Formats: sequence, structure tokens, C-alpha cells
Amino acid sequence: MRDSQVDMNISMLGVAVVGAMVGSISVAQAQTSTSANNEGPILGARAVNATAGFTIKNAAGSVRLIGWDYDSIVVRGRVATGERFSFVGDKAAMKIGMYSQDAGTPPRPSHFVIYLPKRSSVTPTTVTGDLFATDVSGIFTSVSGTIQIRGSATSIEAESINGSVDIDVAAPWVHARTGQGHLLIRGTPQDVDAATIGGTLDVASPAILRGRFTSVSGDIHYAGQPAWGGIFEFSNHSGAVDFLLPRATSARLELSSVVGLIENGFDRIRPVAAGPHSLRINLGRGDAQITARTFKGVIRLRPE
Amino acid sequence: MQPRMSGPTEAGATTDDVGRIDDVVRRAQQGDVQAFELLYRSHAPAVLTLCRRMLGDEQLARELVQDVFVHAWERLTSFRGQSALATWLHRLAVNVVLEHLRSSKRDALRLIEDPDEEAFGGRAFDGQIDARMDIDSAVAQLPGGARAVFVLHDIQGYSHDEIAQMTGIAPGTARAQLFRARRALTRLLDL
Amino acid sequence: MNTPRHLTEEDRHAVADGTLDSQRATDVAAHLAECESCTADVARLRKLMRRLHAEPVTTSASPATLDDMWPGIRARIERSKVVPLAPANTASTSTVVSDRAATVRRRSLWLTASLAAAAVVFIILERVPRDVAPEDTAVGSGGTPMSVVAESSRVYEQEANTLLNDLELQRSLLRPQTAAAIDHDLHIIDQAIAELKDAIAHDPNNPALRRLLASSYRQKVELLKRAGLSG
Repeated sequence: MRDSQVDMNISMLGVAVVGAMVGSISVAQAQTSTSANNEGPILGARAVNATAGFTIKNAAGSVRLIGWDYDSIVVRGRVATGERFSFVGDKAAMKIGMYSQDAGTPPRPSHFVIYLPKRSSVTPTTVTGDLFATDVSGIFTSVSGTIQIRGSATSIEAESINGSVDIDVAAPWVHARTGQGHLLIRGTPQDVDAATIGGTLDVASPAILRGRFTSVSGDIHYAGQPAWGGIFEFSNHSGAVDFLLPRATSARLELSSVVGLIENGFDRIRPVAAGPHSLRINLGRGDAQITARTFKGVIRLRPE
Repeated sequence: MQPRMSGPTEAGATTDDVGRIDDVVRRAQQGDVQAFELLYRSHAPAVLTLCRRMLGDEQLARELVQDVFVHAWERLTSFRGQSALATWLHRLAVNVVLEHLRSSKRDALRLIEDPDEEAFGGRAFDGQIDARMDIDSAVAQLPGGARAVFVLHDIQGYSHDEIAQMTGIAPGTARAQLFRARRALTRLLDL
Repeated sequence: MNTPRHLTEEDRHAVADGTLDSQRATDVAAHLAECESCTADVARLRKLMRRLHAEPVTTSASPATLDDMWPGIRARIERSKVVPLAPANTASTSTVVSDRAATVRRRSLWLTASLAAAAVVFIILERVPRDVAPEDTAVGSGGTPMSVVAESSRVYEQEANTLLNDLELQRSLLRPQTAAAIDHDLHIIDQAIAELKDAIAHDPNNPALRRLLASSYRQKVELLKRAGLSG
């Protein structure tokens, strides 16, 4: 059984190859003002498959994941004093991070920057630690840490109990959840399923083609031009649903609330049907379809 | 990486929607794989043709057709019958292809973002000129980004604004790519 | 004498497309009458468009091609239905595999339970007809709308209790702040569910209420699943 403490399974040749790549990254980092010194020493490095899977765990501190075009993984970082860092697995799957932390004691923060293949899949988990990812796909989980995802991905699943989730990606599929945290969806995701319990949900993306946005008591804000042919569903119990749409928007809207009010700012357009708790209105050619329903939350439709 | 099944979405379609969703679709939405296969066999030819035209590569087109139908299976519960299923699948296929082009290093939509790329002119002039060449063969020789815009506009009928929205490029860039694609085709087809 | 400027690329393609706006049409036509070069170029483009529209659009695929592609699609669909357990493996990955298997089994439990609960949600919406006229109180084969909702709620509560029991077993493993956050969110959702059920009791034929109730149930199931994975 291999020693789990800083367990590197690379040959000397691998060290040389990886070292050259790390050197080039260090140059790039200098250009982007993030020096290798700030990221810490190399804790682990090895060649992996382009589509390898990585399970990453760090209760406290931070995990930064950066997708790159090499079939290798390099982990830089600083491990908290007294904590044990794991780097085990093979070319197809690896487990990285802090796995031996005692759940009964507050974890000491460790910080990692992990470079891995863009086509790999990651499953990082933190408790209070923050998760940052660029150009990677995977399932991101935190209890109260912030999750921030950028770049391109094939699919993103991000869930936090009450941390904030900030997604600005180009991806076919995004699934995002938080309880009381702030959930922000930007970029060009195409199929989005996002929900909060009480946190605010902000959506500002013109590329979403299928969107489902839900909250129980948090407010939902949608701003911008809905994509042609897009289908959007908004559901809220007591929180508000706010639409801030350009006047040139082309969409069919069906807004309804059981006891909440509907406020319509497109007062120059005759609605198809309107009442204090419901509104059906066609903007432009009605290319997108937007449905919003609340129990008692107010629904506001306003032009930009 | 396949997204996890998140369970059925709200199946709260209105009566009008229900009327527009035929029985096979409904059964497929409820998880009937045999019903989904019927939908696949009915719609796969059109999806394959679209993918083949946009990609110019038969093998890659077949791979993405599989992706399209796997995505369709995962998202079928969100289909409410407001459009024909063929239209819905068509749009899904376009998105899958565009996503592939974005993520591919070889043939990326970055060619659209950079309309002055050398690859366009080089490939166009390298294309084999054959009076008997059909449109599909000629289109296959276009660079990826220009081919995608040409197929979306001149074959599938999307407007420049729609293409801009789908691809994330400016409408002016989409027009420029279309014009270059047409120029290349006139040379390839010896018109 | 000034050399006439040639047509812009935009104009040439618009002429070939037949999309030239009326304001430009007169000027363009006048230029084409005098410019052989532009006329020839537009003719080439028009020939391309004619050929494009004249060639048959083939959308066929042989049965063999469809047969070739289907097994891959089917396999991926079937895989997506079941969370795989990692196979037994060599010593170098045993730790990875055993931990992943434990995580996957835990996810599997939550996924199974959440799918069951989600199925209950589906039942709520499917068994109550969507457009029952206000005066029509006899609903299909499921009894009255209220009895159907009540029955489905009971089934849901049973499934949710299973998830809650599992959460209680793990509560000692949760950090106090985490447990407090989960309890807070559960309270918010349970309040919403209670309000919706009360509203349904007064307006049982309201499909919007059923949809909102289904949404709240789903939120609760998902929260319990997230809570289970946070231990």
C-alpha cells in the first residue's frame, strides 16, 4: 500500500516533462500577474488520460481548478500544518486533497491550484473552502464555500448548502443549487436548471435555450434578451420574479400568481389577457416562451 | 461526462400542450426506451443530414447524432409540444454541433470569431474543383466556422440575427462568413 | 469621367438572395446595367443559389446506418439511469475505488430516494387532470382532486421521512452551522408546502397550485439529497 502522504507516482522522465510544462505555465502566470510562488510548490504531478476523473476534497481554504491542453495534472499549493495531502490513483482516476481531516475539529485551511486536462471530469468538494474552476466540467459541491465557474465546459453541476454560486460559462448544460447563497448565471449556457431556497437568483445570459429557475423565498431576477426559441420557466413561492427585458424582446409571456400581484411595465402593448394575478402578453413576434408562476411573490415585467 | 438524471420535470402541460404531444412522445417522456427508439428512427435521418452538412465529416456527424439523441432523451420531459418535435430536435442538433465546434481545437468556431483567418482562403483554394461535385461535397470542403454559418443560413434558413444569437458572434461577422462561404463554393463548383 | 464604384459585397449577395431593400434596388439596377463585372459576379452568385435550391435535399439514412448508431445511444441512456458502482481494482486504486464506491452508494441511495420522491411529485401532477372545469368535481378514475392530492402527499411524506431519517442518522457528522442552515431551509420549504396545501384545500382544481406544490416538493427532496452528501 502506497504511503498516502504526498504520494507521487511519476517517473523521472515525467518530472522533466511536467517541469517543462510548469515552467511554461509559470511564464504565463507571470504575464497574468499570478506567480508560481503565490500558488505554492508542486505537491503532485503526473501524466493522466485526457478524460480522466478527479475526486478532490478540501474542507477549508480553497481549490482552484484550471483546465489546460496537456494530458497531465499538476497540483500546486500549500497544505496546512499538520494536515495530510493525498495524491493517489492512476491515469484514469485520481483522488486529490485532504481526506484524513477529523470531522469533529475545525479543518485548517489548505489552498490548491490544480491544472488538469480540459476534457477531464472533476468532483471537487469543500465545506467552507471556496471552489474556483476555469475550463473544466464536473460536479462541484460545497457546504458554505463560494463556487465560481468560468470558461467552457461540457456540463456543470454546482450545489452549495448556503454558499454563493457564480457561473459564467459556455456549456450545453448547467445545474446549479444553493440555499441562502446568491446564485448568478451568466455566459452562454444553453440548458439551465437553477434554484435557490431563499437566496437571490440572478440570470443574465442571452444564450439560454431551456431554462428552469426556481426559488422558495428568494427573489429571481432575469435581465436581457431571451434567445430565439428559448423556453423559460420561473417558479417562486413567496419571492419576487423580476423581468428586465429590452423593448425589442420577442417573447410570449404567461405570468400568474395565486395571490401575488403582477406589475406590467410594457404598458404600450395590449396584453392578450390581464388581471391582478395573471398576465398573458406577446412582445414582438413571440419567439421565446416565458412562463412564470408564484404563490404570493410579486411578478414584475419591466422594459430596460 | 453525462449529467445525472434529475428526475422528471414538472409535467404540468396544459391541455393544448397535451393535445400536441403524441402518444409516442409521451411514452418516451415517461422513460419508455422503445418509444424513444421509434422517435430516433423517425428523426435521425434529418438530424444526421444536418450534422453531416455542418461538420463535413461523416464519422463525426454520426458521433454527434448519438450525442443529440442522448441529450434529447435527457431533456425530452421539457418538450411541451409548442413546436414540432422535429423542430425541437433540429434546434438541439444545431446546438450540439455548435458546442462541438466551439470546443474543438481543429475546427473551432473561433474561425468565425476571426474572419481573416488564413485557413479559410487556404482551404478554399486547396479544394478540389470538380464540375460534377455536388453541393454537399463542396460544403464539406469549407472551413468549419464558415460551413456552419452557410448551412444555418442558406440551407436551414436561419437569419443572420438568429445565427448570431446561436453562435455568439456579431451579425456582421456572420454575414461576412456567409459571403466568404458562398465565394468559396462558387470556386469549388466552378460557377 | 469618374469610374463607377462597384457594388459592395453586401449588395451583391442581397441581389442574389433577392433581399435587396427597395431603397437600394433602383441604384443597384442602374449600376448593373452599366457594369459587366458586377453583373457577371451577381450572376455567379445567383447560379449558386439556384443550384442550392434545385438540388434535392436528401435526408435519408440507410437502416444499417441507423442500426449502427442506436446501440451506442441506448447504452448511454441505460447508463444514465443507473449510478455505476466502481469495479474491484488493483491496490494502486483501491483507496480511490473504495471511497468512490462509498460515495457512489451514498449518492445512489439519495438518487434512488429522490427519484422515488420525484415520481411521487409526478403522480401528483399526472393523476389530477390539468384542465378540470370549475364545475366538474368528478375527476377521472382517481377520485376527487383533493383525495388524490392528499393520497399523493401522504406517499410523498413517507418518502421524505425516509430521507429525513437518514439525515438524522448523519446529523452528528454535520457541523453545527451546516445543520442549522439545512434546518432553516427545510423550515422555509415546509412553510411553503403548508401554505400551498391549505390553498389547495380551498381550491382543489387549481393546476397552478399543484405545479407550485410539486416544485416545493422537488426543492425539499433536492435539499435533503444535498444535505446527505454534505456529511
